[in-house]
Amino acid sequence: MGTEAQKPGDMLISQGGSGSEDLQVVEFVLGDELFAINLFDVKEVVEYTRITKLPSTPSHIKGIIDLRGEITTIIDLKVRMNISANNEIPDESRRIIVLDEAILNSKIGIMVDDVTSVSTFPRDLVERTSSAISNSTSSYVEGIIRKKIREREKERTDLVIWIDIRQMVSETDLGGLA
Amino acid sequence: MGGTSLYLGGTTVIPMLELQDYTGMFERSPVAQAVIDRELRILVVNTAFCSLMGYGKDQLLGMKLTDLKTRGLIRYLKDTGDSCTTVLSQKRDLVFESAFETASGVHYMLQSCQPVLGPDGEIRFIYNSYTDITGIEKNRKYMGHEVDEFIAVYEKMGNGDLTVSHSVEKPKDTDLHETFEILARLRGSVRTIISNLQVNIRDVNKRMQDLTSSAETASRSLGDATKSVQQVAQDAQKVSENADRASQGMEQISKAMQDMSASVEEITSSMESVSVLSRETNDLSQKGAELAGKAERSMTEISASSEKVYSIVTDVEKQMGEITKIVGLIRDLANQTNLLALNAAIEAARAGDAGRGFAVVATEVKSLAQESRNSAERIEEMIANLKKNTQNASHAMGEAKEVIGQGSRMVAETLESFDRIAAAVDKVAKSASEVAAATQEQAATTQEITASVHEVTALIGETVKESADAASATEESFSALEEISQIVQNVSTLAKEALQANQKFKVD
Repeated sequence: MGTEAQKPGDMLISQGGSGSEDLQVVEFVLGDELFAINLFDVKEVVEYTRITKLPSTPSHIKGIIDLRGEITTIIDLKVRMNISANNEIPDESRRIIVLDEAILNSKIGIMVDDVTSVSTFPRDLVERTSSAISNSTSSYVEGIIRKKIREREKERTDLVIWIDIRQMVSETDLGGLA
Repeated sequence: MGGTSLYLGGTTVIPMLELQDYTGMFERSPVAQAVIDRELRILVVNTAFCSLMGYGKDQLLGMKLTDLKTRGLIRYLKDTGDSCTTVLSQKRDLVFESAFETASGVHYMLQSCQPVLGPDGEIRFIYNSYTDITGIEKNRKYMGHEVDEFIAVYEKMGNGDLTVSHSVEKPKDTDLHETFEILARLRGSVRTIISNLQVNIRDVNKRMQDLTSSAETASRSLGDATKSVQQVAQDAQKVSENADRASQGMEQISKAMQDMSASVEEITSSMESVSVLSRETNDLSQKGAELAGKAERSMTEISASSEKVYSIVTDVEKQMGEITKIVGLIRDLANQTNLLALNAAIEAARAGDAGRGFAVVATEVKSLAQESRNSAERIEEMIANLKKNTQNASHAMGEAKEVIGQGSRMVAETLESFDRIAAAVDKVAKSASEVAAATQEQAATTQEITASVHEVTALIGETVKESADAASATEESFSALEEISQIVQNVSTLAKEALQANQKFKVD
């Protein structure tokens, strides 16, 4: 698959121009945690539409939708990443992040609980995952972002899990759809 | 025998008659005749003698008269001892009675023995004649017997038993019939007398008994009367005592009447107080009724107001529901705006430097959308709170409605109660005035009673006097009764004595 040089962070930096050290991500929520993927892997965010289920597909394959005349495969990221949350959000309230077609030459969307924002983080706030983590089953976790939040004149830091979505999708069994 | 004279008894000489005449007369005479010589040998007998002795002439002639006796031809029942031998020795006539039984039966005889003297004065013959007195004897015996019975009966009667009776039986012997008739007549006469006597005695006895019993009754009555009089005396005493007590009672009544008079005055004043109080109560209850009426009207107004409030609250709830809908719409819009801003930011970022300005706009839009969403959420919160409040208000209004209903009912009841109180007070006032009237009547009555009591007291005084008089009168009548009793006792005694005297005569 893709080389090391093609990492989103690099791309953002190289394409970002000013502040090349900055990381541009789309933040989203899965269960109780915040996640982020590279902005340039995202094409758009859409609301939930009815998903047509397909037979004989893995449980993380939600099904397919017709997005402006194109059949798009939907992966339930929570199922794919084995995240179990206390509060089950109904599908109708969840959102679908449609990935850039360039990634796998196929139309893929990932279903998340909510999309919160498009953010830019300086590199010093991003900590690359240690080899111990990347060598584990979660090889698609690229790093942890320390997100500083100001709330009622108090500053706290949330940890946002930075995911290499290309890596993950490439490792994902698409049930012969892609 | 053909002599010219015949001496019979030595005295009678019947010159005209011939011997055969005498013989015939001798022969036919019913008197039994026999002539005997000095040796007592039977010389001549007539037929009557033969039939008397029961032997023929031939048997008798030549027989000694004494042989009749000694040979047992006749049996002497009665022998006086005089006989022909006596005639022979004494040369005089003998007449005696004898009774003997011969073959022809028992004969009672009047025997006469007459010596027939010769010229020498010596006894030549003895003439015996036997006059049959059997019938006379029979009558004599019969009569004697009957007279004995009569004597016994009359002795008994003489002793007082007048119930003794005896009958004279008619004898079979016809010779006695005449005597019987005489005796029967005698008895009948005596019986008539006795039975009259009996009737009289019975009558007298009865009267005596009646008298005795009357006397006893009188005596008893007198006893009763005495008792009664004593009772009267006691009663008079009691009357006197009772009168005393009554007098005391009357005094007490008089006192009680005075007390009652006082009580009546108290009642009258109390009734006046009651009247005043009931008037005041009536006024108060009327005021209360008015107030309750006002309260009722107020309750009705409150009810209407709360009804309005309830409908307003309901309206507010409805409108808040609409607001909630609108807020939902706003949130949807905010969400979509947010999405649009996201996508715009993504596009701007992809555009690089060219999209930088647009990225700022997108961020602004996004924050606006966020604010809209926050505002919507706040509104939703507020609406939720409001909803809770309105629900509480609604609930409270429901409760208020119930309470008001209860209040209304209670006010109505109060009103009713006041009406009833007014009616009751009215009745009380009426009753009080009635009581007052009755009390006045009572006062009048009390006065009347007092007057009556005085009268009664006077009457009782008189009664006491009269009862004392009655007591003395009773004593007098008591002594009079005792006297009468004594007299009646005497009468009774006399009657009893008379009765006893009469009871000597048994009449029943």
